[in-house]
Amino acid sequence: MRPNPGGALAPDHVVGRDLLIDQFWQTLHVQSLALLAPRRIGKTSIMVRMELLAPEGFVVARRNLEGLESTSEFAQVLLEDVEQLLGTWKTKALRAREFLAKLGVVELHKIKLELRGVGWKRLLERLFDDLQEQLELHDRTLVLMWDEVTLFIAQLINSGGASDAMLLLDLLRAIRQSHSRVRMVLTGSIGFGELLRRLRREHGYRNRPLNDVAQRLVPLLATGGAEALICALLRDAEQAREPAFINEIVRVSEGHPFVIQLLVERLLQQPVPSRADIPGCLAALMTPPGDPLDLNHYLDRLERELDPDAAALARAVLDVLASSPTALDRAGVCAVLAGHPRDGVLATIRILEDDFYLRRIEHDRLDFMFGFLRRFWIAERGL
Amino acid sequence: MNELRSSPYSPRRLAPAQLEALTVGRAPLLRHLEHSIVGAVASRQARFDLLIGPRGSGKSHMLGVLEHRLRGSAQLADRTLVVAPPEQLHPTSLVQLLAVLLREFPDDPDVGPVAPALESLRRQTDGDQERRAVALIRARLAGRSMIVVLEHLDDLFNALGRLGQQRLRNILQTERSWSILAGASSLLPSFTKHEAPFHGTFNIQRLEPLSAAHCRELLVALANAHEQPERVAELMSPIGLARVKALRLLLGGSPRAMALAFERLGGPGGRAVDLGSALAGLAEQQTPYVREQLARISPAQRNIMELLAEHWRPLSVGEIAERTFSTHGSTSGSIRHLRGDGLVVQLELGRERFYELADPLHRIAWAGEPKQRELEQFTGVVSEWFSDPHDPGPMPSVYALSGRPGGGASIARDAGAPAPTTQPQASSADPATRLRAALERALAGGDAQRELVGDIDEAWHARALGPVRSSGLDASSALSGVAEPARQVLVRAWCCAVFDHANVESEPRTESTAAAWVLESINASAPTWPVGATQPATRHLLACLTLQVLCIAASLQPGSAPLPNAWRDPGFITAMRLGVYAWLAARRPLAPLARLGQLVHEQLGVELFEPELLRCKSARHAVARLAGPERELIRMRLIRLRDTDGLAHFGFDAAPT
Repeated sequence: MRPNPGGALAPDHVVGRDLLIDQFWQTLHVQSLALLAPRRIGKTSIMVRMELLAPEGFVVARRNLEGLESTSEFAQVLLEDVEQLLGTWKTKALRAREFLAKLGVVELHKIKLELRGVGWKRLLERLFDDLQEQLELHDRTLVLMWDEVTLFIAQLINSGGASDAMLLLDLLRAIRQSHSRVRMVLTGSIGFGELLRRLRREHGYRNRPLNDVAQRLVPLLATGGAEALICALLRDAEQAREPAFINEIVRVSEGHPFVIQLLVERLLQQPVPSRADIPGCLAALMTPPGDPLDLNHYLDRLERELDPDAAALARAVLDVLASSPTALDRAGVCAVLAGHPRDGVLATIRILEDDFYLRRIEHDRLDFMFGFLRRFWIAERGL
Repeated sequence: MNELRSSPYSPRRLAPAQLEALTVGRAPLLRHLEHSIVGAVASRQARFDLLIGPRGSGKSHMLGVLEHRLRGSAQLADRTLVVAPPEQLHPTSLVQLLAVLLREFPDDPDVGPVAPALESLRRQTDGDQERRAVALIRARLAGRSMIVVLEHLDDLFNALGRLGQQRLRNILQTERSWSILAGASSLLPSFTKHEAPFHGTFNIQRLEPLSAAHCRELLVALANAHEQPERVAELMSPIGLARVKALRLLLGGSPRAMALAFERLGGPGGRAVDLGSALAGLAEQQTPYVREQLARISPAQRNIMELLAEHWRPLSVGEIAERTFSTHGSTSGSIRHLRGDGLVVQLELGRERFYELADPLHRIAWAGEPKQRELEQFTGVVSEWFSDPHDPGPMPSVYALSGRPGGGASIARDAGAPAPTTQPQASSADPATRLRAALERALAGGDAQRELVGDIDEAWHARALGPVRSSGLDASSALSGVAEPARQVLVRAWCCAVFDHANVESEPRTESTAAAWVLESINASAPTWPVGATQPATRHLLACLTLQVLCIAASLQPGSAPLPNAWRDPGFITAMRLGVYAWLAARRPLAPLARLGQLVHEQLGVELFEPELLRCKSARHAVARLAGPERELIRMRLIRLRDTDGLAHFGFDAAPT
């Protein structure tokens, strides 16, 4: 096994996540899941391995929704996935086909569906009814793993389809409520929080379409998982497998799987990888511009996503937390920023948590999502 | 048909063995990529690698080598298809890309020939061609993995736009066994930015310029390929390496530039590296290619490129806007695009920004007639700099990138504030003590010219020629035992020591003997250059000292004596330019140079230095306005003198590459 940062990993190359995946499957026995994490934490890889480790009684249909342009297209790809599944049981989505036949669609695989109005919604309702019936018949639960859901919803909003986006979110929630044999695993590069904030702000959306879904933050690798991954990646590099070398990679990478992959990839390009190479390789990865993690994004995004006052307050919160010698809780941050309205500070902290700048550690104290992000913030802000 | 021996523009046309034979300096990276891709693909993973480098940096060559190695991999045989569309094809949509890939598939007896499938795809008009093309590819892969080798990924991504990139990523994420190995000239935000679909997807490998040793290795490989053993022998000699270093300084470390230069080096038996003729030939050869490249950019951007080439040296946005009759805003926008495309690089000096062409070949191909003369002069300087095969100085760096943001300190130093200090040598005394000892040996008739020259050079740079001043050289008997050219060195060093002040005019003119010496030196200086038998280091030091002596003379008695015609000699001009670079490296004030330059121009009509450079407010500003190779000469001098303050002052990277 060699490093493959950014690549499409095979399920057996996803290392250090089995405990987490087991927990996710436990949850899926009772409800759907939304996996929350910044980009490059490994959400897609986790889904790939989840599919491999699906418990008895579950079937999985995994689909990437990035680049879909309309709810019609979404309905079509879902129809394809469902028909493929039903095909294994030698049946078809009869209600859905009947609905399409009424629209004059008789052949699915040679045309692109263009469902006017809420035709897509009706198609989805019938499709899930077909599914529920067949799943009960075969005593199975279907897990629809949808990657990049948020990108798809954002695409709908950007192309003037915000009402479709809201309708789809509500419909999916209703389906989860009414179809006991259907579960969903939803992930996305854009945070759900950011997306819902935008719908609320720009389109007056007031519903809570994910309040039935267990929202789970995908953590960094624990020490054991990180060690296992590093050892696997270094399997061919005999001289680099000393414990001190591995521990140092665990320490500097903070268990971030993408950073581990990148770091080992770079280290293996050294003539004789050694611990002394680690700081230089890490610095190359973490130094903007052109850094693979694009750390400048954390600065730029505040300007882009928030109005100037809110962005200024967000920076102030991050400055306080970055420069504080000890971790603060929310009350502590409010106390330091006493000149700002308390509600505003608390709302900003919530946004920063939603957008993966901050995370809660023990005793409800706040910390940067990553240590290297804190160091970057301190350097960039001259703290 | 004759086998192609080299192809600077289309290396993938070469046979695999020839490609391998001409692969230089990239072996570890190639090995790493080959093993990584084979390992990933053999274990049913997809991997995405991207080679980033300016045009001519060897991307196509590497892609060609890897394509052949992957095709020949035993681990991938029968379970992987390597698809490498010709680089002339530039798909502009996702469906076009998929069709281009499909076109490269072999006909399959089970699924049928490719051409009718493609024709059928073209006839589809229901807007679902993408999905159909993916299905066709999937069917023809029949469970195998695919490695796509693509050139110009930056152009493709620009054409696809965000939505096209998202759909491509969707396909790759869905298929999970389609790998991409690609090349691009510029690191687009699409490859790196957090919000871009492909953020973090590609393993980005930047292709650095070849080192001088690798440049020589490439030239040797080319000479072998063209069966030129005499050229191989010459290139392998010490002077061969020195000349290759000069070539690299002028052309950057681009493999293509080296390959093109090789073609202009003349036939077997000719000189190994004749810089002048090689550059002239290159300029002529490159012009149509550069024109074609520039035809692809907007007229406004083309104007800027032409101006930068004509000007040869960096310009600010204001200057570019003024000279192209454009607004500041539109000029900034055009420059941003040119930088994004890797055609122009930015240099920073405090809050000021200057821009110059990224590709040395563009500069050479586009420089106008006056600049061609200047280029020729500079080529003479570079040849002279690298004329000592035993001590050609540090390796040239990537000069286009040597300007660093935030580099440098206060410019006050240029006005005569603290002089440069050099890092002491580990095993010897301070420069003044060393200089004293060297002087004593020289005046006693000892033969330690190299040490004397080194010590005086260091002391001159640090303005620490005090020991020479107090050595009693003003008595004519002092030099009786000293042979030429050490005698000339000592005479000039003494003059400089006496008058080494920021402003000669403000000094009391009490040293009448010294003034006579200065005038004598003026008359003696021209014929002493070049001194063929003299060691290059001595010639270079003489150039520095002579320049200062002339500046002193120009200040003491301006216009009192006619300047000798010998000053028009190219050798003398070369010496003076070498002196100017040393002067700038020493952060000396520019006013004396300007006065001398004006005097020479008035009397002889010769332009010793660019007047606009000498109008800069400091040496640091003047250096920022020099062309990349000129800056690199200054950087190398500072490294040789171990002047770390100087390197920081000018924002230079201290590490030779």
